[in-house]
Amino acid sequence: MSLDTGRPERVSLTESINGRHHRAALNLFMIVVLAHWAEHLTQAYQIWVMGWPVPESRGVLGLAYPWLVASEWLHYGYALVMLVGLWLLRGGFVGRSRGWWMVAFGLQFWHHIEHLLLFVQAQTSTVFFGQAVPTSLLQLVIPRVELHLFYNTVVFLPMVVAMYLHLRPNQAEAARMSCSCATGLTVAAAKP
Amino acid sequence: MTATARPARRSGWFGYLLAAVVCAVVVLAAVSDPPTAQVAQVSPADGAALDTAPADVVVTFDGPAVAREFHLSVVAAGGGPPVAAGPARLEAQRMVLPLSATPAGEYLAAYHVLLVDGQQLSGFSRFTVGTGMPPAPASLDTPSIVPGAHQHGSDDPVNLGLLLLDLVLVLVAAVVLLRRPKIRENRPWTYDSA
Repeated sequence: MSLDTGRPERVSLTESINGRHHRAALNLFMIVVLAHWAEHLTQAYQIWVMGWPVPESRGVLGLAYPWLVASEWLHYGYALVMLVGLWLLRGGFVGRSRGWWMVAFGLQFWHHIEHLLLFVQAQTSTVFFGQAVPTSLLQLVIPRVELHLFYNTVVFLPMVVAMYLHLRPNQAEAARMSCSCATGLTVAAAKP
Repeated sequence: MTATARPARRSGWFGYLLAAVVCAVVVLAAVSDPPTAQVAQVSPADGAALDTAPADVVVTFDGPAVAREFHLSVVAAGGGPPVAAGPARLEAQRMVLPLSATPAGEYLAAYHVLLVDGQQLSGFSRFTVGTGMPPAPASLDTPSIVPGAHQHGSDDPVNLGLLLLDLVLVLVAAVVLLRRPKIRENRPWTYDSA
């Protein structure tokens, strides 16, 4: 038997993030992700459109803070934020979107391990695998820049699919959704 | 006696693992904050006039230099074939570039190191071999970095292709976020996982 104390049931932070604050948390998370991509795309624009030398093409923040782009702290921190965000926000996803979101999480988990290897080497002033510079596992066969751009892409792709399916659910999925993203869901106009 | 129904426990093990990783990182950062290495010496020194060619050019640091990228090259001041006998290598506290037999003349050694904390070290050393004269004073247009000696980032087509794909994904994500969520009508060909 449970006692009705008259108080509202306590909701944990995770339940709150995946419940009535899921849309806001998802938006916040995506702003961070899109800002990261904006930096990469700005860098590409500087290289390919403006014709800047590669070393001078450091995106937006890198122009003001050149050390930031190369900082292992920054790269590891972003990998960790991605991992934590994907994990914390998973509860709001149902149906097909959940599967895609967890694919992104799985890939980011490995990406994070690679960054952790780099971070540990940087912090302890040691290098692994007999290399001259801090090196992650797959970096033994693929250059760092290409490898991590590939990682970021293959994590982002299933994230976008998951978000599309989450915010455009079918009727069965919509019925199972309990997060704030389901608030005000309307049926899309049927095509003739 | 009947068993009490308990709510299914949510899989929180990974959350604990993540928290442990975060704590470990904070501890690691607190106990190991490697000081930034500085260049202690370059050999041959800037302005040196050598009788015989050096076997290598060595940049020595005042502590362990954990670099993300490093570059060291030597060219003849008046142009000419490469004088390096192999790629530069980074050892614990020094960066070494082996040299091939270098004819008499003036040379410019340039280095650039990108440390893992984001700091950069760069400089150059001008020296002569077998001329009996020190190198001419550095002019204002003396390059601080030998052209082609280093390359950060990447501008290859693979990167460009990935970035174009990412641009499309960013636009799709922005549209999905900005538009009002809708329930899509089930169609006969639509997969329903529910």
